Amino acid sequence: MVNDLTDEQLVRLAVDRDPDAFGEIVIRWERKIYALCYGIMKREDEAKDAVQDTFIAAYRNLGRFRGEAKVSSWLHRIAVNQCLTRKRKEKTRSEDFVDDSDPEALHVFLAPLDDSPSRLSEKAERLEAVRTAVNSLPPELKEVVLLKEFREMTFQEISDEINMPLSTVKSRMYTALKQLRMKLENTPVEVA
Amino acid sequence: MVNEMFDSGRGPNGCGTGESLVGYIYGEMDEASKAEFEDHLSACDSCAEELASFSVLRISVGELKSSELAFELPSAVEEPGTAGLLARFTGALSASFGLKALAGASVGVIILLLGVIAFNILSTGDLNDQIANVSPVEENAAENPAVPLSEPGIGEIAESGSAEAEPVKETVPLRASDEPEISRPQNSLVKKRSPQRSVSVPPSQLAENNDVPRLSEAADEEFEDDSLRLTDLFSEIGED
Repeated sequence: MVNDLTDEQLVRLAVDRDPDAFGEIVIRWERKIYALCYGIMKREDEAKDAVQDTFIAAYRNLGRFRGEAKVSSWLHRIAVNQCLTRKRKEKTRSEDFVDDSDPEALHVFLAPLDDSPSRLSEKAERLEAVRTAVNSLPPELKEVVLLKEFREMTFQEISDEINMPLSTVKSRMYTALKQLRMKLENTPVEVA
Repeated sequence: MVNEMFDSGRGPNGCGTGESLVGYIYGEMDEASKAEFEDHLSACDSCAEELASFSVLRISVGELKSSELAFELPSAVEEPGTAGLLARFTGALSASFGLKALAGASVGVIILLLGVIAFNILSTGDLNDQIANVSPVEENAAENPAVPLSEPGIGEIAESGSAEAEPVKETVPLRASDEPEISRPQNSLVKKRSPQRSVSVPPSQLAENNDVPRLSEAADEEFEDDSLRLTDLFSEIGED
């Protein structure tokens, strides 16, 4: 059963061209890689394309993975590079730009998301966990999160609103995100 | 420039990119700073990983925002009173068996209950006691209009879960513990199963319920048939 193996064991199997092994890597990481790509590209379609590029590049370069870094770090690095490459291309591309990637190549790996009752239930649990985590933040951090995420103010506007230096507002936001990540460490990731 | 940009906030691995990371995630960076941060990002696995995890968080918070209304409503959820329970049971049954099966089961249970009550009346012969026993159910139903007299059948099936075999046997004890007035059919059931066969209900009393006489008449006919056969047998033996 490939889902019992570690990422590193899966990569070793994938190097030997075991498609199930690489498929399992994709299933494990596609959503987090999507989040990363979305964080860089800021657009859903661009992020999805970047995810595809990432896994295609990873598959083509399996032989170069030395096992010195974690598989997750390796994938993150590839994803960042794919996103930045795409962004640079975006800046310079002309109207007749042709995408040379092969999105179809990845469709065999990407697991479609379904709307099964269990997934909806997981989503409800996840949202409740996020809500609880936000509510449990210290007041000064929660204030920044609510103003930023729910009132969609810029950091400068928040700074003016609560009469705090801009750098303090950003620093509080960073601390809040770290605390939220810690609180939600065991909450299953579900994006895209 | 890099040090100047990353001097505040403590990023992962102490590279001091905390505030820059936040600015980058929320798209609040000028082009020069963004380009510089991206250069750093392409070389720093920790920042890439942190960016990924923060992006996941942002997506989750975004989901929460879009479903915020749904989270404002928990207090509006109906308390599990009798009507609420019945609604839940009905829903559960609809999901499990479908509406047709639910209607069929309800009608079946109601008919069975009526039959049991009727047989109890016939077998004991004390109609006044039976009326006294039955009336609290009607009174309770009158007090709580949300629970029509016919609905205990629905509740009984639902409480027995998916018990498909012998639903009545399982439901009677449950109802007896929850609502004592419904427990009386259990007594009727016991009496029905007892070998006692004496039926001595005056026809005038039977006439009060149109459904009951049919059952009793059938029973009487059956008993009469038996006695006739025995009489014949005895007479045949006597003749021999």
